[in-house]
Amino acid sequence: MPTIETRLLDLLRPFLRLLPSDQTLAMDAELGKLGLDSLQSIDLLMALEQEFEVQIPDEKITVESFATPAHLLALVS
Amino acid sequence: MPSFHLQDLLVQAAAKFPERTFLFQDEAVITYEQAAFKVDQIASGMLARGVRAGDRVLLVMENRVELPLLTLAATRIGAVFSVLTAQIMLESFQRIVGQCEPALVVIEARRPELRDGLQAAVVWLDGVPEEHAINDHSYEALEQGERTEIPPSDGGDALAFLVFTSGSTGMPRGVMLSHANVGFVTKAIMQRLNYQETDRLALLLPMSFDYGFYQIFYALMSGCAVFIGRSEMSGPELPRILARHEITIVPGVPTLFAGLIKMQSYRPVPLPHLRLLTNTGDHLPLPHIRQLQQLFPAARVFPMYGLTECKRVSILLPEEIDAHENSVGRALDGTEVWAESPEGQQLAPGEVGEFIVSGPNVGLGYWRAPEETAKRYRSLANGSRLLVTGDYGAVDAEGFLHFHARSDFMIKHRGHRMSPVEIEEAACRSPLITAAGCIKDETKNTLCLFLACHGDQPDDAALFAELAQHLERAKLPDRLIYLAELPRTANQKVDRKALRALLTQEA
Repeated sequence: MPTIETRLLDLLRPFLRLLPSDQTLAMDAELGKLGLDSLQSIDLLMALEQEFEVQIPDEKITVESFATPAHLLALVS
Repeated sequence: MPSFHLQDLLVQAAAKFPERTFLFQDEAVITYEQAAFKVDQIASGMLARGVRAGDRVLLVMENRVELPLLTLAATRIGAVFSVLTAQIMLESFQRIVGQCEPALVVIEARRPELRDGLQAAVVWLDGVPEEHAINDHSYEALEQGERTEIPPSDGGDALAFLVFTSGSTGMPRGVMLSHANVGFVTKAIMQRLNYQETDRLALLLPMSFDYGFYQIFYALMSGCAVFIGRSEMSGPELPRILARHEITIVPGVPTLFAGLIKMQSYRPVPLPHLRLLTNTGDHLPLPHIRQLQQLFPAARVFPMYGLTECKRVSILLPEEIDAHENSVGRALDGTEVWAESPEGQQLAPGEVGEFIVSGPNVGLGYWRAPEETAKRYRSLANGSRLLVTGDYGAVDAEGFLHFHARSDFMIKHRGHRMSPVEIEEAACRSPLITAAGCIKDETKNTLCLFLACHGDQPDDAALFAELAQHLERAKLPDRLIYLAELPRTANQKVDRKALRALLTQEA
């Protein structure tokens, strides 16, 4: 069974078009710099809620929450 | 009567709405009266640092409350300002500096590389780095210095500001707008949109984008409050930001509204205050207009069409949408728009030709680029100018404009105007790429880059990362398509028409 962390990183990869496929994704990588834009963040939110079967509370859905994988991990775990 | 000066907007607003909020962001709240005071302070500071009427002032920053104050201060002394995107590439910035030889440049501490080689006086936001502490200035020093008498300057047809956009060659060019242009267009637009002093507007579009910046003028005219936001806010948090600040007006571009529709459909937030949604930058598809109307029954949606060179061409009123589904509305009052044949004849209603704009909204031309100016602006014997838009469409018998396509290959994408050339050149900088051709797939709203390469096809992300070193985010293609060779025209240029045909075949 893969860890939450691995599942999160796998889920994120397709959203990051500036991340070369042979490069690992660090937990503190800046997602904006790797190509995540605000419109895609909405799709990402939907994907996260589905994959981890959670409903992220409204007050946690902020611009900052989408800054790095670590921020996102805090949302879903 | 002296001619209109941009400064008049602020003076009148401070007199009419002294206590009303003009700008707010985080903890900062600035009333119209306070803004007028601060602008005089900053203008004094600019004078003290040698800025004079006619000089250029470049402002490179994110949306923040200081930005409108700085622009109005430059205007106050008759200087010509230009707001550049905070994401500007160093190379583009240096080209613009070379073109307009600014007397003053204001930058943020997080972009210290922009300081390299500047001859101008430099003002820093968020602190002056130690190595520049002796020669440069802080924004605070500019704002809190001694007040001096500010000599009057020319308004009317005098140049007020420059908006840098991509030219057809991919080089930046400065669209020149006069005080009179802004005065006219602000009034004409407010006639249709009718902002009120009780309105609260969310400025999410960057102020380096002209429609973002003009919101400041509309606010000054109407007395509404402007929430200084950022484009990153147009994601998952958007509906809640609008709710928190009780926003009534959202000026946007199609991608912003696409996000709003998506998020509001997924996780609705009550937004009872929302009353005006105005779209520009690119065509807002009819299904999106319908979804917005459904999600926000109390809000009115205004599709609009324009070019920086004349700011606004036409606005469609919400009540006109049903009867004129794919129209971009009627020309602004006091202006005229018609379609012209390739022979230069005005066409009959319904016939498709190039849109020509006539009226006081037509700007002064391009900064220090007489050739490009002559291509787009036609001077008439009576001294007025026509704008040759490069856009094709028809004007119907009732005066409604129907947009068809651009005549050249300039691209409008995510609200930005770009030349395919700059994207192709960025791709060709990669040693692996031998040829590149960029077009927009209008049906899928994606920017497609066709490529030919040496040997094996490089990893998409690796190429994107290379492109990102030379192109602003909005100009990055959505799709890379590799071909063995790119189609060429008779004179060996990349044949973009043939590329477009490839996309059509695919569909």
